[in-house]
Amino acid sequence: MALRISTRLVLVSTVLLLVWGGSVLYLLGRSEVSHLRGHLTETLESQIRLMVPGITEQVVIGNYDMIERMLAARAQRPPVAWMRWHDVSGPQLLAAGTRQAATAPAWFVAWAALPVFERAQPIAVGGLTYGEVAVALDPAGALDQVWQELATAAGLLLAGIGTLLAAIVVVTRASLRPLDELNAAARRFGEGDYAQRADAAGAPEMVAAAQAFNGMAQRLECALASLRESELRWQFALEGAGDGVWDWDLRAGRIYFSARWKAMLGYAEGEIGDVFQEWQSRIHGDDLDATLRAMARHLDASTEVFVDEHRLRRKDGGYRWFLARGKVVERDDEGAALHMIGTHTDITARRQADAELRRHRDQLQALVQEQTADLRRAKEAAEAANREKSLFLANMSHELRTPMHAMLAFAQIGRDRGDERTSSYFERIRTSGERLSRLLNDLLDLSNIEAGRMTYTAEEVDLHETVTEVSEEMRPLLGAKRLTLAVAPPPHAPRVTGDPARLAQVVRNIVANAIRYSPEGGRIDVAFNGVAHRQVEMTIADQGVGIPEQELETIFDKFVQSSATRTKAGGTGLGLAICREIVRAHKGRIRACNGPQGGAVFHIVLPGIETAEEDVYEI
Amino acid sequence: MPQARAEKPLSFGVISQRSAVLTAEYWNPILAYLSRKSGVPLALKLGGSGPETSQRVGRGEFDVVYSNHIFTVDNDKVGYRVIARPLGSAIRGQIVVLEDSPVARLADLDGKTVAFPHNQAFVAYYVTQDALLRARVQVVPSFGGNQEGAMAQLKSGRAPAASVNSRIMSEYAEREGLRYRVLWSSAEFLNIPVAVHPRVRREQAQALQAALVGMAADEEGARVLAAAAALVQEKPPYGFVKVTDEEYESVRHFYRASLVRPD
Repeated sequence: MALRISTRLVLVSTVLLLVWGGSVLYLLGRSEVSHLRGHLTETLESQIRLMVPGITEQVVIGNYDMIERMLAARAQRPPVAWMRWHDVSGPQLLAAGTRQAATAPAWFVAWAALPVFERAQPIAVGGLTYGEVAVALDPAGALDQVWQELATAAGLLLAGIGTLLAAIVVVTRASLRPLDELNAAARRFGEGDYAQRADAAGAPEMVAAAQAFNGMAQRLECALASLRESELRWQFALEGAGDGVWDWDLRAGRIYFSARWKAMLGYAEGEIGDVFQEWQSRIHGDDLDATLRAMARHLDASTEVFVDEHRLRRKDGGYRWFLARGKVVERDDEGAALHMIGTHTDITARRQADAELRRHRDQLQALVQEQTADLRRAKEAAEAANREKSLFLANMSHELRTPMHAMLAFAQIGRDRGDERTSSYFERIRTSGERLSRLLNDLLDLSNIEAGRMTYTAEEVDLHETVTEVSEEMRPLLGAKRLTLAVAPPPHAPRVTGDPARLAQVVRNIVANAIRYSPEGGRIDVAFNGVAHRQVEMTIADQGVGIPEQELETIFDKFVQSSATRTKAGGTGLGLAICREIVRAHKGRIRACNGPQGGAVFHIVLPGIETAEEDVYEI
Repeated sequence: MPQARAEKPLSFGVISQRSAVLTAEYWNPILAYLSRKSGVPLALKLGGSGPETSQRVGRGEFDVVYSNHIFTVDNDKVGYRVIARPLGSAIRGQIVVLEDSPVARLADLDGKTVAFPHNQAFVAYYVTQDALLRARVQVVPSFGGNQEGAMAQLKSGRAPAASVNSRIMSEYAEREGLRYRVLWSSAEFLNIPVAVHPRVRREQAQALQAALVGMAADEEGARVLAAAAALVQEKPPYGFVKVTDEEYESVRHFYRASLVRPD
């Protein structure tokens, strides 16, 4: 049992004072006994010294009666135990002292260890020994006196110690009274009186302690006020949110359910107990296992938070969905859960909404699947029709081109052999035939491409040579409009791997468009640039009307012509589409833009062939 | 009692001139010597006081005695026979005062206190008191028990005068450093004798006498005598000489003619 500080001080002081007092008494006793020993020794010598002359006188004259009286008289004086004359002739005279009843306790006598002091003195006169006088001193009487003195000293000492202890008690109580008051203030504070403060009075240490307590109490009061506010806000929030609260003490096996929690299940306060079974027994049978597993995982710390949705049976027998969220807030050293808190939120409405949403989603999925099937079928039909179209076009082109060649041949003959008028008719036939032939070729190419029947050779092609060759082919057309085709000499040969005829077809198509849409006396520039990743870029720029910005991409679609050039005769609307397909087949890309000075600019980028000089291409 | 010999020693009584202890210190060595020399065992016997010693002499209790009280009228009947006496000057009875005392004559002591050893002392009481009575000087006696007791009263001033044995007085004054003046002095008397009781056998008496007389000549005896004399500041010569009863007739005569009567 813990003792009060004042009690401890009194006990310690008592022990110390008693030890000190005992030591003082012990030393005093030792001193007194030592002094007594010396005193008795001196007394013994004195007795002998006083006795010898008288005894000698009487011995010499043979007055043994006087000797006996002398011995008896002296023996009566304490602390003499006895006095004896032993005559040399044999007889002896013995006088015993008076022995008073000893008052000192036996243990004290034993502790003092004082023997009977004896001293014998021979009496000889003139060389003749008469006998021996002996004296014995009994220290008992003197010891009694010492004992009485020590007892008096002990009494005074005890009185002094008692007075000192009383003073210590008074001073200690007075000194500790502020501490008791501080303790009482702390107890009242602990009992809820948060306005309790200690009186800062007394010793400086007590004042400091009281001030420290008051400071701590002030901070705690503020913190508790904040906590109460926070708790009120939390309760308000929970009640506002309609959540039920539970607080589970796993050590005691008790769980607190808030009134709201019980009300959510249709119960009044007091109708539900405070054990976990109250909760568990109300969980829907289909949810019970999952809920208990989730709870077990959290209790063994496998999950950070306990979250589970389950149905709970209400008092009326109906079930409602609840979202349970909880967390263990205290564990023991082994990690076992000791305290867990949590909430239950009624999510029945949300669960019903979720179910409704799922139903709508399922319906939508079914509808989408049905429409997708329709689209797939339509797509397949369209693809089949496209394939049929391509096949038709290919067949038609082939079938048309054969008679077209004959027509062109005869138109050429007719133009060359007929009169001027006839020649002009044949010339119109030839020109229209040529256009129709190009259209048929384009249709044939496009249909082959779309049908996947276009084949490409893989050869090393020098695009500069290709441009040069196309330039030669186009010389008449260029000359007819006094156009200049300027091919900038590349620093290194722009070589690519591909089908030289198809690549020449691309160049030819674009140059032909440039010639077609360039004003007379204009200029067409062809240049090569190295681009990153071993690619070759060829640029063909004209000085025509250019391409509207919104059409820069669509001009590569089939049967599309730029609105800026649509009025001009000549295009089939398939050339650029074919060019894009050919370039794509060569893993390249083609795009159009307008030059800074006007006119269209076509960029064709193709994978190049690695050469020793490739690194010198500018990027 | 002190002797523990097979043969019963002869008791040797000594007159109380000094304290018993001093007397024993003086005589015990002498008696031991005499016992050895004479073959006669001797044991010192002292009385408690001068009168007691004198009375014991009168009763014949001592076999051998060193005393002149044997010559009183009553004690003379016991029949002690002198055999020797100490060497040296004779003794006188004296009335002495301190050297600076105003007392100049015996008459000045009339009505005053005079210290005496005891009322049995020969020269220090009978002789001096007789003279005072004859001079019609009435003094108040104060007994000191023995010679030196009376001298001590003088020294201390308790008595303006003392009645003393001249020889004892001179020895005491020298030993104690006392300066005194003799106011009156008697005629000379032989020193105190050693006498034997009639029951002592003749051969024992003769042996003792021979030992006494021959003691001073004996080396050991002389040493014992010298040591004893030194105790009391006794002047030489030391030793004893043979005497006869007739030599003390003057003493017997004085006792018979004295105005002093025993109490």
